[in-house]
Amino acid sequence: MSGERVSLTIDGRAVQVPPGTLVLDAARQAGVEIPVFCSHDQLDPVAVCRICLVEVEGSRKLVPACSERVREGMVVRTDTPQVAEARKSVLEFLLINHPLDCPVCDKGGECDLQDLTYQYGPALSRLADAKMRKPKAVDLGPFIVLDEERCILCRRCTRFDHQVAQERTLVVGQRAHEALITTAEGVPYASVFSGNTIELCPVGALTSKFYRFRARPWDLVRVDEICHGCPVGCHIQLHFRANVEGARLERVVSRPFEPIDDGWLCDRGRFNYGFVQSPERIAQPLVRPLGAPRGTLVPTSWEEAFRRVVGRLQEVLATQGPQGVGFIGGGRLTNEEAYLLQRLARQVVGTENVDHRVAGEAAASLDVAPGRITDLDRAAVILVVGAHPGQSAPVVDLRIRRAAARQGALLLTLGPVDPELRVPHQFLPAAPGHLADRLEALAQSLAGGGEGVPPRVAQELHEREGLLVALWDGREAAAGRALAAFLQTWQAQGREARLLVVGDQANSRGAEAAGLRPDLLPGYRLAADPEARRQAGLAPEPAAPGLSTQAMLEHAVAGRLGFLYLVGANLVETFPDRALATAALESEAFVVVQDLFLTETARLADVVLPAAPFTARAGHLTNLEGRVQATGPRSTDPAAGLPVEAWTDGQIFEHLGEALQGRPLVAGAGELATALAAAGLGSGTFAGALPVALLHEASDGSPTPSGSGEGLVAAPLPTIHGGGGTSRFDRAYGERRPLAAVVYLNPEDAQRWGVVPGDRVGLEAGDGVVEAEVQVTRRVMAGVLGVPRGVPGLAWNRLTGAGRVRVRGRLLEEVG
Amino acid sequence: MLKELVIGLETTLKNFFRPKVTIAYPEEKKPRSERFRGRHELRRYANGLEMCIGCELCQVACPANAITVQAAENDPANPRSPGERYAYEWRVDLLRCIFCGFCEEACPTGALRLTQEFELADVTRQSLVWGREKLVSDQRTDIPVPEAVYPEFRGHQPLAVIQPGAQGRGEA
Repeated sequence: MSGERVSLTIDGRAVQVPPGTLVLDAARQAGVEIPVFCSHDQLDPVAVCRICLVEVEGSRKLVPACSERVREGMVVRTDTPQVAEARKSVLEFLLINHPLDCPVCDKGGECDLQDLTYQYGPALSRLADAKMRKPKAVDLGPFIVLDEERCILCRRCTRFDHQVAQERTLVVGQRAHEALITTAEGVPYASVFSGNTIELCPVGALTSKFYRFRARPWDLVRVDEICHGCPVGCHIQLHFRANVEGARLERVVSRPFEPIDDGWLCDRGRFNYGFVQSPERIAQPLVRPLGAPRGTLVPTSWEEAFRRVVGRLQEVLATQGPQGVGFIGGGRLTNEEAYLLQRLARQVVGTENVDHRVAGEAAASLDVAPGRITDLDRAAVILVVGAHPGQSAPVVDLRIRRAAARQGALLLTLGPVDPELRVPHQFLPAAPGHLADRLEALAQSLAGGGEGVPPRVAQELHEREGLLVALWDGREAAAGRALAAFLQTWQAQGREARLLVVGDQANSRGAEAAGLRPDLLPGYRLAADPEARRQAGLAPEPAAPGLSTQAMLEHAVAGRLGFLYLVGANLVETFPDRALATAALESEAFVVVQDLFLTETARLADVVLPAAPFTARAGHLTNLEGRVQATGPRSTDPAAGLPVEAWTDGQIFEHLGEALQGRPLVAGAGELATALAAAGLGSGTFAGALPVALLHEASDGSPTPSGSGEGLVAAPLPTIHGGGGTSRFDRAYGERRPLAAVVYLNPEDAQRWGVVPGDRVGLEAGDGVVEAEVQVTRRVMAGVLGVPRGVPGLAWNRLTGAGRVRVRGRLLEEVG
Repeated sequence: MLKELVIGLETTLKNFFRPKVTIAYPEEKKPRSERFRGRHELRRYANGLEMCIGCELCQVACPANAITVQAAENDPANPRSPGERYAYEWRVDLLRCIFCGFCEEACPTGALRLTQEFELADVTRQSLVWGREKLVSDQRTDIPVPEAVYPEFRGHQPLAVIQPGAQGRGEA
């Protein structure tokens, strides 16, 4: 089939294309431009706008090029007077009720209707009557404003919502000239992907609330970038308005890159950019005055801050040795910065205590059947283990939706809480800490056994031929091992398998590959391997085995770790055991925090160093499939207009390195690039992956629920609009997507604990009490309490760190 | 020698009785052409609303990069202009301005006018960057809000009378 070609001529140019190609695409290939409104590469053709009408020999009427498929020997003409007349008429029709408010329209200057009218349309209107009046500035959803007058009913937005997002919220209401875009039942259009409709809209009908009237397209300086929101690594473009003070970041748009994003972005990536210019950013270094209690911080100079850090570090090295120093974080840094941090820790300080894992995850990759995001397109089975792709890797979720809804892939989810997937799927409940058992049963079912696997699933798994793609959230080391074994069993049966690990932070995988793990050197070489150590310029034997995040915190509490350096890590909010994280930060240890905002963690620090946001730095990021992508460099930094003295994370590490050892951390950019290439992080390549052998319990940050009987086991759920930093300190964004302190219960448990949906309850775990509203859903398995992470006012990690959770009934009753 | 003196005085006397070509500026000012291009002004409609909608076309037309416009959304309860959008900042650097009038020509609403005022000297550069507080006229014109252009939005009636009697009907 691939060799088959259909020949046709378009405007006298001969072109050969595969059968089934649309005339529009064939014309594009032949270099003939056909105007379009409703047609879009990623959407099914509908041919409603009629601007693409072309003449086809043998056909008595004009034919829409966007839905007509090529035939052998077809003769297409786009340059005849009849076609020109048709385009002109179509534009005249579209303009009949289109308001001429281009001067105030956000799309003016980049509008398809404007451009095509200039090119093909009539110069004057023959309309004598008044135009139709429809509502302007209609709130469609949290981020979107609809101008009904401007809409030309191309249906790109509704088709996106139906075909790509599979959500079916947007519909065309009313009939004929009164038709308008609306939501079914008038609910707000609150999809996670709502922002894409702004870019799809060929006119200015759908516009962004944040960008509304902020700039005109010709004001904008465009900078290519990789999204720093999650490990998917979508390609984005930052638009700065440069002719106002300090270059203001006005919007984020997609830069279509098919292997990752297909041109789609999630609302988090598209709208959560205001934090870059937030007035709440830390403006200058802060220190805790000597003798003052924790929480007291006063501004100081960089020199003084560095003097404090270096002085105290040398003191701790003298008294406790390198084992008394720990570095946590780095999953939000670039590969280069992560490598520098690793080098600072291992070579300059001499400690193995480095760990990027701040949220209890065990791994950010696994060297069993490493997959690519595009593998999902040809998957026969998709197995989601513990992960919530719609929340932690939304754009990947679009591919899952497509595979399951349109390509008939079998979608299985396994975990304590069924992720919201929007497409039909089978949920296999597995209690926290017992995902491995369930995976082992699944593996056995491949061989014909397997207790506890629903027979229909077992049979489907047995019969499905082809590719299985597993998505794992990197939590529970035992689950990782069981998953690896399952994939190997699948492969042993002659079927293909692929694995994607959804890391917790945007560059978790890059940080892992750069050696920000206690047991790994850069390039996934074992930290215990003398040969690898020699090559890295380290002593053949580490002074002491490296500590994981949890172990470092425990050592700090026990007084054996006197210096803790946190980089972009809000441990109080992200670490599964809040009590431990808080105790470690309040211990005698000297705590340095490098962050953009004064987070819960930074407040407890001894020294806070203000870091620059992603817009100020250049480097590479590694996405969840291991793709190493360049970001920056750029000349436009919006932060330049703020009274903020921030350094990039890399500059801080370099300065500290030089202050400590008297010579630069790396000899130059060349050496850094060579080191990263040697670690498998060369630009444009794919990074290596974590050996399964390293998935042992010591590396497992998620505490296994202890105790039995009474009480629920808390299962943390990722929240797309939540988080410890960038979304929390972005006021405008937070107002649009308020996060409610809600926990999820199974109906059985709700009955047992005597709560009904909407109740405010007290949740007791250990000696902490957390208040939240209850929602009852079958998505949560019995015996489990679903707790969203990153919601202000809901300390999820009070519930996960301390055994089982008891529901203390309805708070109102208790008070009364 | 006397002869030379007489010749010289003749020239002097001839010019002495000629009509004067100088004027007593600043008490007296030269008449300016109708189309004289002085400093900018942002006008108002008959009902008191600002004509400027913050479209930035003057900014993009300006060959000297003297103009900066930043727009914002009108508060329907307390609108500044008849449409959804108004200019919350409209700034011209009069030292950069070459008074070519392109901005006036680009203005889709006729809000921007170059006035007859030319006495713009000042002692600092910053004081010659004029903002909307100096440029928006405090006088109304007799131009009515064009009804066909500004529909209602979010409950805001652009034709609503800000002061009774001042409002005229637009050409439909």
